[in-house]
Amino acid sequence: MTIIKNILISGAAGQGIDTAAVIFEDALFAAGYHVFSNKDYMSRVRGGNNFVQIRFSENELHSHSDILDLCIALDEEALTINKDLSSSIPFVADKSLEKEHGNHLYSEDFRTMAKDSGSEKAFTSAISGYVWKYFGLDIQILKDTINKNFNEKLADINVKAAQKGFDAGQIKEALSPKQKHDDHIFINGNQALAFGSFMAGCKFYCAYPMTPSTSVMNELAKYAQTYPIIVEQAEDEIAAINMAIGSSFAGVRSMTGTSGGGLSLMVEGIGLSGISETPLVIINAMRPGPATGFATRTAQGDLSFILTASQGEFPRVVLAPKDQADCFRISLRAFELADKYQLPVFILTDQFLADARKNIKEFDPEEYIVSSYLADDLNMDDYTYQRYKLTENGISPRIYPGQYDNQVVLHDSYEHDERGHDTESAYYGTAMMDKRMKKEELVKDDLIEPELLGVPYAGTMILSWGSSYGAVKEAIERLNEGGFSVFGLHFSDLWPLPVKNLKKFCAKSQHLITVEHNYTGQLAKLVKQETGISVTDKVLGYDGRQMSPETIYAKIKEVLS
Amino acid sequence: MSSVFDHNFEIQWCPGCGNFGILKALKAALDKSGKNPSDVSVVSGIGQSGKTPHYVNTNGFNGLHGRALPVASGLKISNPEQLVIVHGGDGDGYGEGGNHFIHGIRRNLDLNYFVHNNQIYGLTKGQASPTSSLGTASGIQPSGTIMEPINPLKLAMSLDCGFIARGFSGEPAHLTELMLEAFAYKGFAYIDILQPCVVFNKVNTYSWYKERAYKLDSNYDFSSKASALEKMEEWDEQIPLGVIYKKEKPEYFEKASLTNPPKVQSSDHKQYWNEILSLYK
Repeated sequence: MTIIKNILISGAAGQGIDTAAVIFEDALFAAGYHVFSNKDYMSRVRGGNNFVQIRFSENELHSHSDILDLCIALDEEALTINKDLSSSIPFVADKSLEKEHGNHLYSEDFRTMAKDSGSEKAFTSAISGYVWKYFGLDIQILKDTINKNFNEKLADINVKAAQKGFDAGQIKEALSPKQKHDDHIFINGNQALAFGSFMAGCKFYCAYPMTPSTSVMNELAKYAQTYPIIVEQAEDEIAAINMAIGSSFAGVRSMTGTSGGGLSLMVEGIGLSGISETPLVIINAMRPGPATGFATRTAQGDLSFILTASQGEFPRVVLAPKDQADCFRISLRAFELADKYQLPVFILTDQFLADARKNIKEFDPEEYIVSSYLADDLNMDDYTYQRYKLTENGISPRIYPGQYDNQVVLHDSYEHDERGHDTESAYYGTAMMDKRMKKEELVKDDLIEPELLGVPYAGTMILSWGSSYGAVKEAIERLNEGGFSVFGLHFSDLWPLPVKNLKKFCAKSQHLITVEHNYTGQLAKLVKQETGISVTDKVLGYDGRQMSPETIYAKIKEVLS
Repeated sequence: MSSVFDHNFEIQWCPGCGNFGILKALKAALDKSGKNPSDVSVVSGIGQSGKTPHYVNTNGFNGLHGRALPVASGLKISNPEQLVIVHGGDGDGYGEGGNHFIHGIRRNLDLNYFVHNNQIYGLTKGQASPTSSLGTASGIQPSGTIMEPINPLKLAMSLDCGFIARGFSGEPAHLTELMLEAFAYKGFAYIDILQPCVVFNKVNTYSWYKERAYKLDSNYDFSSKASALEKMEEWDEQIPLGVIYKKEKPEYFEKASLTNPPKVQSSDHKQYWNEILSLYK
């Protein structure tokens, strides 16, 4: 039987819950386990209730889960809020919080242990040590991880606190030691986007901070301390997208990132990238809207918006990574597609994936090709270069200012002629629209069909997209184990919508269910628009929380029963 | 006299438009700068000023209304070798894009920001602009605008902009010299250029400006904040032309002190693969 454990750490903002979780996760990873963690936090700096779920196993994990094995409560509210959890789940909390509780409560004087180690703030490390013992793990691994994550002075205090917690604990469920996966990295979605973008050659990231996109900016700003990339905080999202466009015009791979509210401000700029054919990568990390919505929670509510954001018609590409490794792959592809076809490319992620951490196999650099799509062999008379030259496939040779000392380049937001001058000409109105829209046909060759989950042609087909991949995959597996015939198509590339697999598998499908984190079933609408195929049922979540495999399983089962 | 910066594209401004003087001054300044057209980028937004990139033989970006400064900022950050000149208008730059004016000054990139200020909306046919005098009547404000005009020079001053000048399209030779001084200034160089709109602004005409405009002479101390603020207040009786305030300040790249600034030329980031990978081990 495969061992899967799931720990909940629950507490108030400002209690060091993130640091404690990261250390615990890192230590589990170092101990040879596969780890998947996800965050749930409130839009405040202090107080409230936040939690992190840390799920670990000897096999690869693709999703979070509702099935818990242990709950660590850092404050009284955490005890109260989680009191509805199944009574079989033990709690660990500080002695000072001891009170009537339906569940078994392991309480020790963690705060005193921390105080005796040098700082009461280290009480989370004392708890970590205690839980580490609970699972019978090697304390040295936890200590090494603490040393890696703190400066010397703090490390010393926290190592002591962890040891005290460990000594006070008892082994309850001894887990066998594993070999660390040396060829794995441990990364969250936004870090993987930053990593992939930098490897794609991104040299300029410009944004206005907005949850849950901000951690991409933080990560790239970390790189900028050492590596050739500039991160600029703009005065607003309108400036952010226009600066990124200016930088791309300058010949540099450029990106901006935001969440729905910021994207709403960027909308005119998206059209500017479209008509001026200035390559641009835009990350939209979704949270529930409209307006300010649920500021720190998750949703898939922006797909329909992204597909037509900005007035008029122009080609665009929309990609939604399914997991952390896909964040990396898709950011590389996004830059290649933006440059190759000279258009805006969206990366549609969300709070869940942005913050969810998972260990994944290292990428092989040889697998990824980074190309230059700039025209490096122009041989033209002085100042005869035409930025929007009409070509057979719609793609004009692109150069940047100063690339050739006898040519200049003009980008225009107006409808324009081939050189880039404003025009009122009916001929160019048609010719330029045709030219741009040809690229949307062409880009289809570079898009990837949805991934098949399970065995096709079974009775029921599930449609899903983006970050729900892991949970849907797990739910489909469980449904099949439970005697239901279910398979799925999971979309990462969303626009232009790849339809081959849909048409191939759907013809014989009896029953079609879409699983999405929005109210209207936006993928289902898109599928209907592009193929005429209608879904039979919708499994939708729009409470700002990522549906677990258990929830999806139960909801699909309900539909099928 | 022909110039390498001449460009044969039909000019869409009204005959007699103040923009002709600005274009003339720009081309003369570019000629005198000794720059090659491929080393210069003219960036604009929307409005009559926005058409400027189409009328000079340089690189150009005619972007969105009010958003010329951000485009120019991204361009300058990623390709600092370019001489970047931004042409805005009073509606474009002080209205729609006012936020970028404020933060552009704070960022202090080595940009040249030339605002064609005709105190009226030309392209949309004569509405009051942020610099229109109180009471300026239009189709939308038949009884006159009740909005008080902004004093853009004082706005720039409040942000300690290191180069604040005022030019006049009716004095292109003088404007050329101002532009050259702006090119030479390392940082955000801002010139508010008074420019009659011959169609919609019947008050602030060539003769109205000619009666009031005077050039600051060599006795004027542009390093004094007090004198600058005094000059910036002048309007109804007389209007000063020239560099009104100037001081040396660290520009963007000096402040950023980047350890490893990116280059435009393609470079392979894969050389950093293992180092970055190790962050996540």
